[in-house]
Amino acid sequence: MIRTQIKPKQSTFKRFVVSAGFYALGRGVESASRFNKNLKSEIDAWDEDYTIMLKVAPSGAELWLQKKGKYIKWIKKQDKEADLIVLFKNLDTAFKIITTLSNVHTAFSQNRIMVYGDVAQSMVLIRVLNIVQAYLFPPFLSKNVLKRVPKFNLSQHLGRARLYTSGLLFGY
Amino acid sequence: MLPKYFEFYNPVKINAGENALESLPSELQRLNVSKPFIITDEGIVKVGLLNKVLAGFNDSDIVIGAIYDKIPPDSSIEAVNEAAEIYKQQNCDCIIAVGGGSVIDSAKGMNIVISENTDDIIQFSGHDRIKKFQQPLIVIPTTSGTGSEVTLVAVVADKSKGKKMLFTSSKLLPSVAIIDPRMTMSLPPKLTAATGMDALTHAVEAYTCLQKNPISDAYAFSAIKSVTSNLINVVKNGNDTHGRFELAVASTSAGVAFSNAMVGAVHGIGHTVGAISHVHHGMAMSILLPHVMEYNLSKVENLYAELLLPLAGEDVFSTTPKNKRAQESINFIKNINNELNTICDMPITLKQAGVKENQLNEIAKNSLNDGAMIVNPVEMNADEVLEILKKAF
Repeated sequence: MIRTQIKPKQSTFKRFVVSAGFYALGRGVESASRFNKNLKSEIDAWDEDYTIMLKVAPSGAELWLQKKGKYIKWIKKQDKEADLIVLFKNLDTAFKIITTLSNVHTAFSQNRIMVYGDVAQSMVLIRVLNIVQAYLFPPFLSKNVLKRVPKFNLSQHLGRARLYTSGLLFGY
Repeated sequence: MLPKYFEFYNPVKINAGENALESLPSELQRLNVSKPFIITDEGIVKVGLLNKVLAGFNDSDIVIGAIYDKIPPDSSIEAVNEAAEIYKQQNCDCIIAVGGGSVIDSAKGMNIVISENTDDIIQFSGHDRIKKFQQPLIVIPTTSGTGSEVTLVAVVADKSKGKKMLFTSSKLLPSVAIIDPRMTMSLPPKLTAATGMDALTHAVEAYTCLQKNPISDAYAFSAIKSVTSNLINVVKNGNDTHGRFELAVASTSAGVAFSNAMVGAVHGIGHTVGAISHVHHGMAMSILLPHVMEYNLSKVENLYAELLLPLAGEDVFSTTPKNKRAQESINFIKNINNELNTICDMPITLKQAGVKENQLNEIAKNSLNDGAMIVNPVEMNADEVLEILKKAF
């Protein structure tokens, strides 16, 4: 048998999960940048309009974030190149990270993520994502994602409640 | 345990051993180039090492296009641009770097300027920003520590901004590394000690960080054994040609290991100590290594235990109870540091190395932004880095 013009299969389910995960992450970063002191101090040094893009290669979902004032805003796709680009090499990597089957530091150490841009700022972004993931995921899932799961005090639990409600809906 | 997935890449041809320099003409022929540009520094010329390299071309018909010997310590954008300009003027077709880390990094930097046809190298700093394939680069290291002859990293200082720019790309990997023991014979004892401890740190961190893999492990294991078996002897007796060769190969092996496995917090903190307090990189490594190992001990105890074999040899390994091997590995490294301190006055504390106590907070904060921190096996925040620094102070 000779087959020609074979098109690769597309996983609609994984694409949906990753898009939903990017939505939650985008809103989560927006929201946490408004109430988490550590996150605020992490992004202090970023210039106004500093732009970050998370993208699934080769042509999958994208998440664009931008420093606006003291906060981070989730913005629509831009025409210009982002200052910092985090590229998931394939959909499977993004799916595993979004579903806590893997995590950023493991994916990075397995060369499944590429970072384009200033290395120091990429370390800041990783710490920002760690803070947000600690809010997004309950501790039994956070342990798959973070090297060290923080113990939350009352104010952090309230922060999580805020992120789950107005945060995920409106980014506040 | 095998990682679920790993990548390993080392396309550098390594020519190592007696009369390795004499392989230069044949390597140029193999690379189909004929007009080399030699980049080095004044110190290398002064101690006669450049003449040894030039002698490697004897009886060939290779014409050296240009020799540039103005590379400063830590390199500089100005030197990189000037070297690239001369390279183009003289129609050279390959680069030969003769020197330590600064010279090798400068060669990689000028290669970016030439290949990308730019006068603004800054736009290519960061990870994987280099698009064009580079000119053939042959590296002849004159120290046994950096491993730069087999790494994909270059650091060039932007002195106008007081910053060091980092470039990482697999395109920066040299074509050939020539390891000739004659090139490290003139290295003074203290520098031999510091660069040797740098190589040891590369190997220990590569073996224990999150990006480790079985192939990088093999390089790291071999490097550790060679360093610990030879470093003290060579520091005591600089004319030990065989020991010098062992250290040179160990440095290259460790370079291959960490270029594929990365390093960890010793480097993350050590880079910052160097940037803020201007401590020699190898000295910062030797001082910080045992302290960071103690911090990481709970997570990678089994790996530190395994390292006792290449560190201390089979007699010590076999007579040390299994549950004490990891701590013994740390003690062994502390003992090497103490011995090097006695023999050649290598500093064993940050204070001795010139770090000021009021710099520790800034070092702790800035260390977290070093790329090496992400693959350290244990998470660290600024307070924890500060604790390590205080212990090392």
